Amino acid sequence: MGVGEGTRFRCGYGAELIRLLGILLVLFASGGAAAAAALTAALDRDTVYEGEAVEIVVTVRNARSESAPIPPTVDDLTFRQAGVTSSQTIFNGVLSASREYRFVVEASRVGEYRIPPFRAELDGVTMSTQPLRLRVLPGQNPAISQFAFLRLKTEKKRVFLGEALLVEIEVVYRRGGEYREAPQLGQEGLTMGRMEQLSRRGERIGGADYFVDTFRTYVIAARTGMLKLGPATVPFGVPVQTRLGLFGRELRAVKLMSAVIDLEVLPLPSEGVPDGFTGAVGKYAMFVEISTNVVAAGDPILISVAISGEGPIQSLQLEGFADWKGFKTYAPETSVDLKDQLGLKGTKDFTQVVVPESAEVRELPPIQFSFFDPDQEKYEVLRHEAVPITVHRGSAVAAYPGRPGAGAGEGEQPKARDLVHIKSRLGSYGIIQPPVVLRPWFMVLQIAPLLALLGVMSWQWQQARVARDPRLRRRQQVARVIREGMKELQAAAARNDVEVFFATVFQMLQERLGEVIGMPASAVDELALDVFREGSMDEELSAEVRGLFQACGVARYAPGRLNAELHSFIPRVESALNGLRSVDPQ
Amino acid sequence: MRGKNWRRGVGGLAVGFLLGTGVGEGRAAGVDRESAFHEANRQYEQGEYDAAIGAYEELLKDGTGTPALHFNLGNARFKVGEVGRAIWHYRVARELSPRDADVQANLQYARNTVGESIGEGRIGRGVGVLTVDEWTAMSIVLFWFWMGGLIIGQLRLKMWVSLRLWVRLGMVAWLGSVAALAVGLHEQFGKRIAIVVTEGEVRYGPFEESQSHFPVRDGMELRVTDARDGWVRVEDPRRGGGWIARSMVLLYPGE
Repeated sequence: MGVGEGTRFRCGYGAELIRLLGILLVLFASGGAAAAAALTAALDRDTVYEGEAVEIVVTVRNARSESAPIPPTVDDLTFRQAGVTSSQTIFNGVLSASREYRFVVEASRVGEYRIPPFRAELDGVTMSTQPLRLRVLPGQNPAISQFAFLRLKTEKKRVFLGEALLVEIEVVYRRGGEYREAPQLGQEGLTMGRMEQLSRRGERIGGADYFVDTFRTYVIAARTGMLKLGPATVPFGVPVQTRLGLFGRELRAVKLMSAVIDLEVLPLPSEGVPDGFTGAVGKYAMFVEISTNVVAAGDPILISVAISGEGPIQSLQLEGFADWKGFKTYAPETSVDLKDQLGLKGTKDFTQVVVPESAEVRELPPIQFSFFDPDQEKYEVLRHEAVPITVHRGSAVAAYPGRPGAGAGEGEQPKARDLVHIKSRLGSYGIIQPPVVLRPWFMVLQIAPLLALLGVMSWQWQQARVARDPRLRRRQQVARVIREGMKELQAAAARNDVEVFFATVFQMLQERLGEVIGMPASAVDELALDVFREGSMDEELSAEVRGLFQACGVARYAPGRLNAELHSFIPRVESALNGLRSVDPQ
Repeated sequence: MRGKNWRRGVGGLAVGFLLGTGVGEGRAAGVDRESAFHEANRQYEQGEYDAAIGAYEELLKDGTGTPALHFNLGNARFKVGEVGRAIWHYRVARELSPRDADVQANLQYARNTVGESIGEGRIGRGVGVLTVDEWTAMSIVLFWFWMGGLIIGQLRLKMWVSLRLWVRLGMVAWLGSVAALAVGLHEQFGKRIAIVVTEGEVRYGPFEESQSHFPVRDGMELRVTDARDGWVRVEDPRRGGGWIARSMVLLYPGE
């Protein structure tokens, strides 16, 4: 059984090898024969719908050298290179090589196009493709509508000039499709507001499940008459089978397009237009707050007017202050607080500063705001009556009770009601000096504790090092004994105290030799010098140390012999101790 | 004993000299300034604002001035409609006397009448609770506290256990105070402000022929980013940057 399988394997392998050799032989025999170079172009479709892209494949055949084909220039057509693929085939012993350059073409308008030849240089010769024809039809491809489409909805089809009309655009599509941009809305003669996207929902249409993405916006008619709203459009990717049908899905770019809605835009009534009407359309209420009713001439009065309601809030205007007699007025400061995403609900605040120019001014004139209500189809006037005020020549302190609950918002500084009166005392003269932080002593103050900390840490580190190293510890101890011993020598020499002098010399020699050879000081005497390996200590130093030991012995047993020589010993002792410090007993 | 007498004699001479000359003159000058200030206040109360401004300005010639002097001068400037100059004086008064609520109130009031002002941000207002020097002092104290705790901890290991929490709190507080100090320095010294004193226009370039960018009102405060040949480059948070004639603004700090 095993033998049989092995045989079959060998037979199969041999057949493959023979086949491969045959191919190589054919190639060799053909001598790489190739057909003549050629340049061709083809459209994948010659008729598309508005917004759809089409692909042109420019094929270069049998060229040994080539330049990339250059797309022609055509009005309203854009060419975008999408990739290059190469292939080789052998047919009847003839080798054929080709390279495909793919271009995506998009038309920006409906119509028929003639696409001039593409040009490329093949084997040193400039060649051209044949011209192509492309038809771009209006509307949406009916085949695509089964998969995805757009719906355009409005609440009504009859609006007034300046009225905000809510518009909904629904992108309805089946699983697999996708789009990445918000829909665009054709709105000739209309002004479009902000757009918000609502949450996605599902819908069953004709037995198939669809996703529905809803976008909401509003439009305001800028002129009267019949206007067209739409179409709404959105670039959309429809899944198609890939070229080889193997590697995932591919999206074909199409443009979804909705129907168009005819809007009738009515002019605002010409009768009963209130004075000071600034074109506001919607439903509004007005609140007025006045900072004070007692002022000095030249002092400002803040008038806060809040207009809240439904309509194009941001475009609201409040006028009439410039006509106030006896007041100097400034341009109002405005702020808008919107309550919805579209900007059709909220409050617009006008903060108007007016300055009574003289004490003759007796009242703030009425404040009026008017608008047109499209539901009632009539004008409405909101009016805040005149407010009596007292204007002094001097300074004012009283305050007008404002709108309850009105105050500064979170994080804002409360607005002052009036100028605080002048100060009666001059006070002491001040000097504006550079801040403390920029003065040198500030740095010193900051560095001092840091240096203290570093000093403490360094000292502790040193202590720890000594504690860990017994040799170091002994060296420091011996150094201390010798330092003190040298002082003692000077004192004993001055006192001519032979006994103490040589006892000190003996102790110092013991300490230093004990440190060098690693023995307890009490165990060291002249014989300890024998521990030193021959040659490790200078002969002269050795003799000097022995001499000192002997002198110590003499002093112990016959002190009278050394009375006059004590001072002369000190340099010898010092020299010997220093010399021993650098001796290595090994 | 002899030396002490000598020193006492020199001291007596010095005191006598000061009383007789310098200090005496200072007191006299002080009295004069008080009376001049009082007179300027009287003119203000009578509504003679221009005269009051002249009198206050005369007092300012002696030096930096007092917070009250700049405050009153700011009020007088405001009364005659020079909001920008008023804001400049309120700013100086605030720098001299950071805790003065009256100064803060009038500065805010003047800014409100202008309507558009860069003012200070929320963080800047929070840090403004203390002056830069106060933040500096606090950072020094906290740094010493922190370092002191570390030193004691090094020297007395047993104490470190009980000190540890405090030392760490000290470090965090010190870092906070340093951050506040940095913000305070930036707010007070890192931003140079141009206060508009003449209504006009910010232009795209530093030339009279340059195209107008946006109009400016008396009292608007704009951040300065550059200066060149009688022009100042200013930045408005909403409308961007542009150039304004140097003569149309007062710089703060810097005038």
